[in-house]
Amino acid sequence: MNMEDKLKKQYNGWKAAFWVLVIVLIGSLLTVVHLASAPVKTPAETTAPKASDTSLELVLNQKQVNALANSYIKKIQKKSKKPQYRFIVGNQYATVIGRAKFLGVNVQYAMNCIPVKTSEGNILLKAKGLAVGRLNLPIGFVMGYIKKNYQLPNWVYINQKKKTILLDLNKYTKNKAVHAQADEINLADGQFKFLITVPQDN
Amino acid sequence: MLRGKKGLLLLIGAVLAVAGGSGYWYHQQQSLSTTVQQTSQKDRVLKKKITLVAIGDSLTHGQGDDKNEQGYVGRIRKKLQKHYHNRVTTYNYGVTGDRSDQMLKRLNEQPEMRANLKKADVIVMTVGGNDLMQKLESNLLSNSTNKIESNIEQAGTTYQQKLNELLTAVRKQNATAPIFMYSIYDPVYTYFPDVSIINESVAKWNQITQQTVAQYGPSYFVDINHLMSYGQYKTAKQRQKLSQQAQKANSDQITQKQVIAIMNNDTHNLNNYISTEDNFHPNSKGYDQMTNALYKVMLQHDDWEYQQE
Repeated sequence: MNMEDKLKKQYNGWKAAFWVLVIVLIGSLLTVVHLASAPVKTPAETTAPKASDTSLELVLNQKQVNALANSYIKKIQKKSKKPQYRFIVGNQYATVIGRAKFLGVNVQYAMNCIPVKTSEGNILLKAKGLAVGRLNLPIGFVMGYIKKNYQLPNWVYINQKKKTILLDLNKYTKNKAVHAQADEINLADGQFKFLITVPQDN
Repeated sequence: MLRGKKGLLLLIGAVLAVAGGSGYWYHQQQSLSTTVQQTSQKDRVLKKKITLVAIGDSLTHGQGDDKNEQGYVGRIRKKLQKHYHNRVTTYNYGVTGDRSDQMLKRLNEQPEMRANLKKADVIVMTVGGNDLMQKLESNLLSNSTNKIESNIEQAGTTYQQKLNELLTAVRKQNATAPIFMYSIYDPVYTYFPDVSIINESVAKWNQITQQTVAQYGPSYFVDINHLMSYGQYKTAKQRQKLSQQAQKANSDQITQKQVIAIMNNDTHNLNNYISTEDNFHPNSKGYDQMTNALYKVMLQHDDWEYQQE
């Protein structure tokens, strides 16, 4: 592999990583809130493959994460005039705010989470608050309700007792163009590191 | 000296006798005057023992009562005993989550419940909340207001039917004891004061309940809708402010900072009478309010406290 090829691969890797990150961070949260469909399997965190020479680190600050979120949401919501939801990464929480209809009336729902990295490089969202308008809802109850009534992707696990959502990045990106795992998530300092590994064909 | 001592004793005795006598007389007068006030014409004889049977859902069960005084049932017993100086025995047949048809089922399946109902001097009920909740829940995220409205309309007809069946079964056991029927209320009014579907369906439900129970007299409707739904926001001006705040919290402009502020306030309910545990049932203050409302209507119609001639 010559230098040029390597660069090209790195560039493609970065591009793919960009989407992986965006989809994982935002898509998953919204998936959980918006209740997408896919079969649910028994929760067992997927282990991370070892970092290799095709791995690269992606470092983002708070502004970049938010910019990514905005552009992603704008893109997927192009058809509707107003954004139906927003994703905001602050110093304390990552927050999803969205609009929904409640008995025929527009309301805003919001969920505050603290994302943390697991030892396997997956992301664990610790839900800290759930509200519709000014009304706080019991997180465990709503999570249990979602888990019972909706099918989630097989890499998203809800634990209503612990009020957590596990995003199994290793599982999600196992057969994707690149493998992604979380390396550091630091809301307070606004530092987000991901390890992207491009699979080698040999 | 001896005479003096005797005189003193006599004096004390006389004073005691007068005091005791007047105390007795005073007491007689008091109870006489209350009796007179209530009867207006003829003298009535107070029952020594009262049996109160409460049938209903979580509100009868006392869900959310942070003082563990059995909701309105425990409270009304104390109030009645204090007022009439007789013994009140209560039977609480409140089961959380029960719809009207489930209460009927219990009545049909439980001989003990029927037996106690039979000997009841007074019946108190909370019905309908779960009948409506179930319908609202299944329409929660629906887009079409028209569709929800027609669903509620239909559910109202079903509810009325079921309520008729329940009340018929109650009257089959006990044809004479007055039924005090509570209204339902909107537990999230302070959060969503402008969701007309809720306001309208709660009003509709209460109308159905009031009209239906009237056909199973003697019966009295205890309307707690505004009392419990509005909570401490008693004036139109206060409720207007609630409405503005709700609009702000449900606008697209809400910030993460505002969201965090809302969530930091999750141990409070905007309505002082609603439990913070589930933001739905009354708390101890709420049950106090419910009890006061019931007590007021009970005192206005208290024939059941007296022996029938």
